[in-house]
Amino acid sequence: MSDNNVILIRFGELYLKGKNKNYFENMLKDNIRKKLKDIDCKLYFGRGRYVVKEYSAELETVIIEKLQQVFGIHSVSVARRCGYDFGEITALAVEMSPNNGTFRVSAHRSYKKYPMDSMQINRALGEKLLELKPKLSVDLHAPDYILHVDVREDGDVYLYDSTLRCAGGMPYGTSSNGLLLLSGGIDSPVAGYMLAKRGMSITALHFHSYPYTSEAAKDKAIQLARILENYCPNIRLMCVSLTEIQETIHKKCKPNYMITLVRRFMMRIAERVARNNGCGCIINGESLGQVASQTLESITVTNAVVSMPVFRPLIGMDKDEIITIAEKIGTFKTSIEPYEDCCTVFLPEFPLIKPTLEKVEEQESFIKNYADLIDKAIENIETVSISQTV
Amino acid sequence: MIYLDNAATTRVFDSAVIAAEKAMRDEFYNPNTTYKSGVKVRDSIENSRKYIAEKIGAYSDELVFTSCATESNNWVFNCGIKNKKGNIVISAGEHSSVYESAMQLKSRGCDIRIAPLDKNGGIDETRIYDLVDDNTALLSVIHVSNETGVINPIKRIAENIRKLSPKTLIHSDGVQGFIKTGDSLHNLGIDYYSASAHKIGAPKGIGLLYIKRGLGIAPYICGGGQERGLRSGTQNTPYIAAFAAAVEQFDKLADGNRMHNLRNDICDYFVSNGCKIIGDTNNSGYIICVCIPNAKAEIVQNLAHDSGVIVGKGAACSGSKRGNRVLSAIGLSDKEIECCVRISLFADTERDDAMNAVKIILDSANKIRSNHVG
Repeated sequence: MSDNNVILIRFGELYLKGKNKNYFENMLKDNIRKKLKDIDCKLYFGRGRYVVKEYSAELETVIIEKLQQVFGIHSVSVARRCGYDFGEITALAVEMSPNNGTFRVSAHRSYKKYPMDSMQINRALGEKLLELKPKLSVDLHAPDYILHVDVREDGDVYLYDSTLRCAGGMPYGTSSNGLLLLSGGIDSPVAGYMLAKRGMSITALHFHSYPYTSEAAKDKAIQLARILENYCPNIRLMCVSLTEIQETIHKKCKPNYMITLVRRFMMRIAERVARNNGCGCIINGESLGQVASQTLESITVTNAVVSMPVFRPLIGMDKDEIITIAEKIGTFKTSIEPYEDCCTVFLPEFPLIKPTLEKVEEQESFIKNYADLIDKAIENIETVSISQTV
Repeated sequence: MIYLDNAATTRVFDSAVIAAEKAMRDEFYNPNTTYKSGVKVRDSIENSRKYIAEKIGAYSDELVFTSCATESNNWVFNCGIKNKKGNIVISAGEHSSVYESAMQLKSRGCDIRIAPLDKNGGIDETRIYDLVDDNTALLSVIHVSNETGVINPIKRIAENIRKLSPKTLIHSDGVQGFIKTGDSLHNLGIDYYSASAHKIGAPKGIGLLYIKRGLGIAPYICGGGQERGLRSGTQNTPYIAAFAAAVEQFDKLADGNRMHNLRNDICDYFVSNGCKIIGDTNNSGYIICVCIPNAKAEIVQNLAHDSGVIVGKGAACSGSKRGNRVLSAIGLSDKEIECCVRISLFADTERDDAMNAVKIILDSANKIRSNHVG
């Protein structure tokens, strides 16, 4: 690989932004800088294109992998760089292109003062290639090989032949803060990823019921938060014990109300934790009708205890669609380790599918120390360090 | 902390640590070199091998060091079967490294036959003899169940199989039986035997496969031709030294009668408190599987841990999988399996500690019951 290899970065939706475009761009630049801080390379931020330069060839895959985890980047291409001299461009094109098959040259000239326009470059370079590689032929519609030529400012011309799709979305940190309810299952990490993709900074909250759930279950939530950290820099994880709350519900209320009542507790706790931590919304992984607690009636009853917005990015998704994303972001294998979570302990045989607010409130009225239980749970909250120590 | 999960792993004996340290610091040379210091290390390996072989009634050239018993079991199933078109018989009580290896062969079209367990957790002997025929290439029966501690009559089974089908090779996974049962491998009359060192006070990462003299087996791991060409890769000299030291120490400490008496007392105590012992016949003194009604083992485990007692629930290897294949095969219901705690002792487990731990385990269970969850 030549020293002239560079990685071109294209950003997605940002170009739709108007006067506040700079704010988004600066955040994206910052996120890219942080992501590549441990890698010896140079970053160049031009108009509409960012370029990673001067890195050693063996780090190329690592850099691309890291860039694919940065929201706001639409795609990247590994390109070869040369100067404006047409002879130099031709030499590089000859080196890169195959010797036979069909091809097309696709030039883009953002440096408008370049003496040839895009069409002229396409034609001239095509001609040269045909002349030097007689087994090549042109196919403008469905060629085997497309050589992209990107003429930029500052004397740079980039040639590349493939483009890798990246995460897309908006730069992380540009859409306020949200509190993710991270259970340890397949759905909640995906829900966090989806909102982070829209630029939201994520703080995660995990509920456990030790000793009814194991240390391993809590550790799983930590592992998941670590994987999410690839996409959500500086994600924080807080753990709340629901043990006393679940024991109380178990003693005082009807068994089939367990899940509904626990979830109302969770939402109340979540809202308080969110407010205390500067989060403006709650995010969860509910998908309509997936389980008893995710019917419209159940969601209505659990949603009724909070006033801040609750985002459910997976609400209309099928399980297999969610799994596809979980596999892509790398959380799936950890999520399927089957440790009990706090929703599966004290599980009634027939949970309520269609609870009503009136009856749920009646059951709740049997818990006299409701507010105390919440205060105590929040008091004993544990902030877990996500960063890996060796 | 009272540690009663010794079937999962054991604390490394001081003597094993010292042996490993000496091999790391002083005798760190590559045993496969020809200079004097290297040759000396090779001699140490051979001394360790010889010592272990003598203790288990085998010839030293019958033992090959591996990384663990899982490797040994995989090796037998992948390379140790002569009659490639024959069927394979295993018991339903096998450890997952045997079971999964067999299932892998099944997916390639091999006829795998599984002999059921009786209600005490032992292999149903008569069914084995029904399943084995002239075309049986391999029979694999676990020596001591890692779930229940039941000892299978390997010697008798081997004798009968030899009469039924002389060409059938016999393997036994001896992880929980190695050294502990006091059996001589030659006396057992089998062809392959797998063992793991970390169950007897050596570090994790070293095990062995016994291969009966005269039996050719292809290597599973190829390369530099170490271990007489049978297991390539530079030998784990520190852990081999620790393995031999652990065998020596274990042998010194082990008192079969004491363990059996202790086990019986623990069982009696549980039974008098309404619990059910799983596999209560011909049992290793080291493992007790007890079903504590209406108390989920996982919660018992957590509460007991907080009170200073570590116990197991089912095999740690399968800890992240729901259910328990072996306990199901004995005929236990899912509800009973959820309530099965595995207590495993070690040669140095003090009687008072064990009895105190049992009380703490029952207290934990009672605490759960008083909350009506389990």
